[in-house]
Amino acid sequence: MSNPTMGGGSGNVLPYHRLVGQNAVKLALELSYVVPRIGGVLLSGRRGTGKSTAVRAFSHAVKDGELPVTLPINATEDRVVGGWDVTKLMAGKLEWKPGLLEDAHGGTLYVDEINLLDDHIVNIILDVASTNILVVQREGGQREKRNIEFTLVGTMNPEEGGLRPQLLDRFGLSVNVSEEMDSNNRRQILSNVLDQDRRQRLNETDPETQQERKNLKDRLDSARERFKEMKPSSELIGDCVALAEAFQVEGHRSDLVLARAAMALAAMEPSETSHHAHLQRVAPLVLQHRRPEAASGERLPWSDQENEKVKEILSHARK
Amino acid sequence: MPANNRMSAADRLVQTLSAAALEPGLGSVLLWDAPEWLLTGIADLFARILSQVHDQNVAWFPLMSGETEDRMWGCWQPRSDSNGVRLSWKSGLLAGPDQGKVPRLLVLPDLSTLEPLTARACVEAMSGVPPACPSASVGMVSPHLLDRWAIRLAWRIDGKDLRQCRLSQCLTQSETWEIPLPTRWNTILDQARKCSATLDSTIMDRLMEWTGTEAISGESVQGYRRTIALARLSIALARMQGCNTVQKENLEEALKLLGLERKNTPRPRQNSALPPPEANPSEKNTNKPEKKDPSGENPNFSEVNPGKGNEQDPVFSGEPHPPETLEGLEFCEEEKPYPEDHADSLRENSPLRPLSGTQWAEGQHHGRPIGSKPVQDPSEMAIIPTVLEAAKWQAVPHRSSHARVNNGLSILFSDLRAHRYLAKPDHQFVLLLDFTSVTGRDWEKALFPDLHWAYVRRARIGVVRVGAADAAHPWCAQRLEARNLLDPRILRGLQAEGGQATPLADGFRQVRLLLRKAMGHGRGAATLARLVIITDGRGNVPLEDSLLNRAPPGNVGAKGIEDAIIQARSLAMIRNLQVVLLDPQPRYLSHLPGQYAAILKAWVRTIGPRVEQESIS
Repeated sequence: MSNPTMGGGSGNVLPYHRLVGQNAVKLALELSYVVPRIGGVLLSGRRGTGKSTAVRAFSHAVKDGELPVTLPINATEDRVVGGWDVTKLMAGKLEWKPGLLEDAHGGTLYVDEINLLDDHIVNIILDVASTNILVVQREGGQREKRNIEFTLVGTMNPEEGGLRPQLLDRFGLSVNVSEEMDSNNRRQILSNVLDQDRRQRLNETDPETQQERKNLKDRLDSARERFKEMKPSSELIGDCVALAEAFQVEGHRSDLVLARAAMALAAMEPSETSHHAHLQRVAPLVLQHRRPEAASGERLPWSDQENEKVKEILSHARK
Repeated sequence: MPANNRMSAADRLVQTLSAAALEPGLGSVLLWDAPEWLLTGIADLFARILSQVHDQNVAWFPLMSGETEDRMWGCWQPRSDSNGVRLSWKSGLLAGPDQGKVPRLLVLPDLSTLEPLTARACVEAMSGVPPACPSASVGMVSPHLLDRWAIRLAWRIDGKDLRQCRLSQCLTQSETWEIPLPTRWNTILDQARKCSATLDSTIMDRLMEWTGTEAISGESVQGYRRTIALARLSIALARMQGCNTVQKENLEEALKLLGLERKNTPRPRQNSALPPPEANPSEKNTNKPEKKDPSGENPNFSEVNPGKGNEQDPVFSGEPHPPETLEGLEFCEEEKPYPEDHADSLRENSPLRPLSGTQWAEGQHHGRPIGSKPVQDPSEMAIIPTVLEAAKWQAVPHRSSHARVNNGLSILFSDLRAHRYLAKPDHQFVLLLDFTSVTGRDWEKALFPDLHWAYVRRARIGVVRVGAADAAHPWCAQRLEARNLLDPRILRGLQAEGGQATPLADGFRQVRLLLRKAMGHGRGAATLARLVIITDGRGNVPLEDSLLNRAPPGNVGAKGIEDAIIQARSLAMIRNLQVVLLDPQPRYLSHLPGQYAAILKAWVRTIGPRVEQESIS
């Protein structure tokens, strides 16, 4: 019998190693997995650019074939943070039912169309994502403080409205997703999608997927361990502050995220290269949604000039 | 109508729905301009095809524009049994325990009228949703939403034939109208289920030619979905023919089904559902199975094989009724298969975002209830949500210590619930436009700040047209009402030349009626209105003549102006009404606009003369 899942549902996840291009998306997802306290990834792009596909593929790869915990757009606060189990309640028992944040512990919490979600729900999620702490106090009962760690990924199509700057700032990393313009890459994308369709139809498994998944997970888990041992150098801290100042970013969150992201990248690529190279790569992810233009709703792409600016600031800092 | 065209349309329908059923990624079909009665027939047909493909019963459900969250996602419902009343969870249309296991077919009768809640649900939970959308309203629908539909079919209904057929069938055969699925499609679908097809590099090359062209990608490249849909459709068509490799004809057929066929591409003459002619067996795909059905005939389209010389035969010729059943159904030859790429944007910014309660008159009970929340003020308590909330807690021990009336429900303050309402704009904008007073004046420019006010506040719109040359009843004013400024009727209503009559008194009367209704009726009443008046004040139709819809008999003198002033005075009593008068600075009786402004305590702005483009250059 054919698979009844329609509309390219959860049963049809493109393997992560079959994603073509989208290097910035991949980098952001991996950094956020290595250091969840980076505070989440926001993927913003027009329709049909593969944002959700990338998130599902990544979660599938790092969580042993599991899909991310997905926040439904109609999620209530109870469902997000947890609440009394109604079924048990009616049987006279007070039993706590964990919410989606706890379900996502150790994995990925995926919020599709995050710009359509109620702001207060987004606030709750971002609070937990950046502090790793969930405290619930409601309906006469207080739950003990719980440590929760997950990779938060939100996707949105800016054509449907943006996020307030305060919320944007709370996402550690942001990627403006655009589609591949190279015809060979587009061809490869189509070919990979159709291959996956066929495998699903025939209930086949991709022989490479298992090995690729293991390689990725090993690489990222090792980086996680290495990160725990890492200490930020005073030069790195100085450079992060210099970058944040040069891009006129408000608040201190960007400094912190810059440092964590650069260290996470260093943990993923344990070579002797200078932290400048790492900062150069993570700066667009950290700074583009915190630039002053973002506050007025502008969605300007990160330009080559801005890359040059980062390079210049770092070269001055070196002197 | 030529028989071949008629059959092509019917054939295209079954073929497309079958493709959507066979390929999971194609499980969404958008029908332009399909009337509701036809949509139900098509939904029923699609459900039967899905049942056939998935080997299990598939039912369809309508998803209306004003669905509640409870119906979409589920809710607690009271249920009575021998132990009394209990609560049980009832799953919604979009979230049942079998979600993802059993296909469910959702039908949206009109995509352009979806409220944000339902539209968001569709974006998130697309699973086989055939909606209909009026093509004229395409600009009102979020492209983000439209892009989710892989297949679009453009219909032109040749009115009465199909309708008569449907009526006849309902009267003579059964109460429900059913589009028959020709029996041979069972064979085709069974075969396709077992078949898998791939694209070889030649077909991939041809397919990629389409990627990035304006036909498929609009003015700029729009993601991968359209190309992927085209490829999946080609594969489904190949599977229906029992081919293991997609043929050139399959791709061309897919292009045709999606309306993407290039003008310079020669159209294959065979019927759309038919396999390629078998004139030269050596040219046939070697991967194609050679199986024959038990009857010894080729199960594929044996009755209509053009290779056998009946190229003009209708697809359904072997069936007793089908040709007549879909008589009158005709496809549009759309120049632009993705009309949203070219449509004027008539939607609000961020159309999928519901208005927030804080933005629009928080605390006002405007829209319909969409959920519940703990009460802030006991006076806003809603009984049903309160009882349901309390029922959940009855068995909890601490409740037993509370006194109960006749062993009834124990309700504590913490159980009290109020309705959560859909936030709706509470502003009203009304324009009284006297077309006879603005000839040569740049009134659009003067009006712009007020239109901006109306747009920003998502105000409901009322336009009262006075003296329009195109008015069906020139002695009366005409009233237009719309949900917001983006309704295309409003723009059309503002485009007219000035006529001979100026029923200004009737215009003011209609404004009063409109405002009274907008600000005084129901819980959704507006709390603030802005009235903009554009007139030189020189009415020439007494109110009585307008009410009787007749030409004023004889010389009216100043009666038209006097009546207008009386009617204007009645507006001055309406509270929470801002009035703006745009003075066209008439040469004669130039004091009149000021007189109206004084009566209405209006802000006055002047309208300058229109500057023609030629004179600027």
